[in-house]
Amino acid sequence: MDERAAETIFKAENVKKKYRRLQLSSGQWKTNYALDGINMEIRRGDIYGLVGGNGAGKTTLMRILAGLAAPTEGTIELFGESDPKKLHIQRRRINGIIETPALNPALTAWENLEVCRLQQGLADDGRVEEALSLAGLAPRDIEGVKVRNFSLGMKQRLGIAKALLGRPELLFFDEPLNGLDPEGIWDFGALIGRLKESGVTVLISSHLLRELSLLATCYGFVCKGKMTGQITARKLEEKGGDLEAYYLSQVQKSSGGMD
Amino acid sequence: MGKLIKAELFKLSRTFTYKALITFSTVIGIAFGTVVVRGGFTAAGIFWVAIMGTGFLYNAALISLFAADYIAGEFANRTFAAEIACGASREALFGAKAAVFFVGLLPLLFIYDIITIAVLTVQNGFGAAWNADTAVFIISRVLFSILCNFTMGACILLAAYLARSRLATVGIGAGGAYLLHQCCINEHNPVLLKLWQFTFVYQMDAVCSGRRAEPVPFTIVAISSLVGTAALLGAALLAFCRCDLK
Repeated sequence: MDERAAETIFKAENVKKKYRRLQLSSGQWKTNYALDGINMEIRRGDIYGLVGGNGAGKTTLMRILAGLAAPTEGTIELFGESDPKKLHIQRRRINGIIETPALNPALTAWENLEVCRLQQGLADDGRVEEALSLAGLAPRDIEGVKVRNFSLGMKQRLGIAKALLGRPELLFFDEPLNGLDPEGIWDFGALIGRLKESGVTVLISSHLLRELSLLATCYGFVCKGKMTGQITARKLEEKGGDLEAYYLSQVQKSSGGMD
Repeated sequence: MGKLIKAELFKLSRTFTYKALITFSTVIGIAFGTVVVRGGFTAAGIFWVAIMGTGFLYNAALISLFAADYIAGEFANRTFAAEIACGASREALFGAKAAVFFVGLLPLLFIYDIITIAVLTVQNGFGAAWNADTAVFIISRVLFSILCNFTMGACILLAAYLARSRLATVGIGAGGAYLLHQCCINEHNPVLLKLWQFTFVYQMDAVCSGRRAEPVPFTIVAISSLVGTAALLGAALLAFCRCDLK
């Protein structure tokens, strides 16, 4: 029995992303495939762990999900919508952080969130304070302080607060644990737990497998732009539960399919 | 787009660089007005009305600095990416940004001139009767200034969207303006001069420098400015919609 929900929130079908650059030494154009035929599916309620090494294509995939880049080939579907001209409407139901939080360093935390609230047309119903609280930012610590004076951990928390502001149905985090201290990692894990209980779907990419294994309910493995495999946490448990060993075994595979 | 414009106005009201540029323009206006009056400048306020908004290199520098922070800064901070990721369409985002950019340009460009006109008027009088003709003259000068500077603003806005870097925007904006200005003032070929007349560089130079026999007719200024601004904004929109963001 498939323990995942039936509703598909995000689907990628044969997604490729090609970059061309001129090699000055040979004078020829070289084509690199950041993504080379990704097939994946995120269902409602998943805490989806995207696993892969540096340069595997995790960030590129997240950028395509977020609308920052367009696939060269293939299609993506978000909440059932696949028309590229209408995807931005569905993107109002998602939010997240890619690499580092995108914040205006010249504004305070409150101002950054207020800009976000105005952009999304959200009601002034205390959600800014709620988001700051969920992200573990105490008002006394950030009152009047410009973001440029924040520590890395505080910026990460503010990025999370910004992502939570619109109460999105799908959250995506690209390497969220990088730069966090142990307390920050614990807090992030607790936040994911709370989000899971409230039914939010989460996509997390990371190469910190031990931490990821404590959070995710299913995994996708990316290697050199290809999805080499997908597995639920339960199935992984049945196979011995060692995420790292399973990932290393997937590196050699050439095509994906849910185990 | 209304929500995005509201957010952009909020952002602009909190932007230190913009406030600093407004303050700078105010101080320069007061200082310049005071210095020229004490230096024996006897021109009346109406003289400055006639040349308002045509300080080509000064305006280019102000607009470049503003665009560098307000537009290119969004690429540097990756805040454009964040806005797109939560559902803003690139077209609406561009539209809101451009609208507030041009609204923000108005006080930036006119504060210096308004203060100088006020200082000269207080010291030397306005120099013209307050009647319908004077009102029409003032309106036509304001419109001329807005049209030319908006076209320059559109050029620099395009540079910001292409360069996506604060430093490059200032370099291309201010440096490019200087080069264009030099090319224009050193052009003597009558055929090329006919073409230059359709550019804001020539149109502003014709008013303030005295190098040209007469200013460019307002109709030509209006049409060339509107067409030029639309084309430049179209190019900037295309560049923004097609680029991959980090």
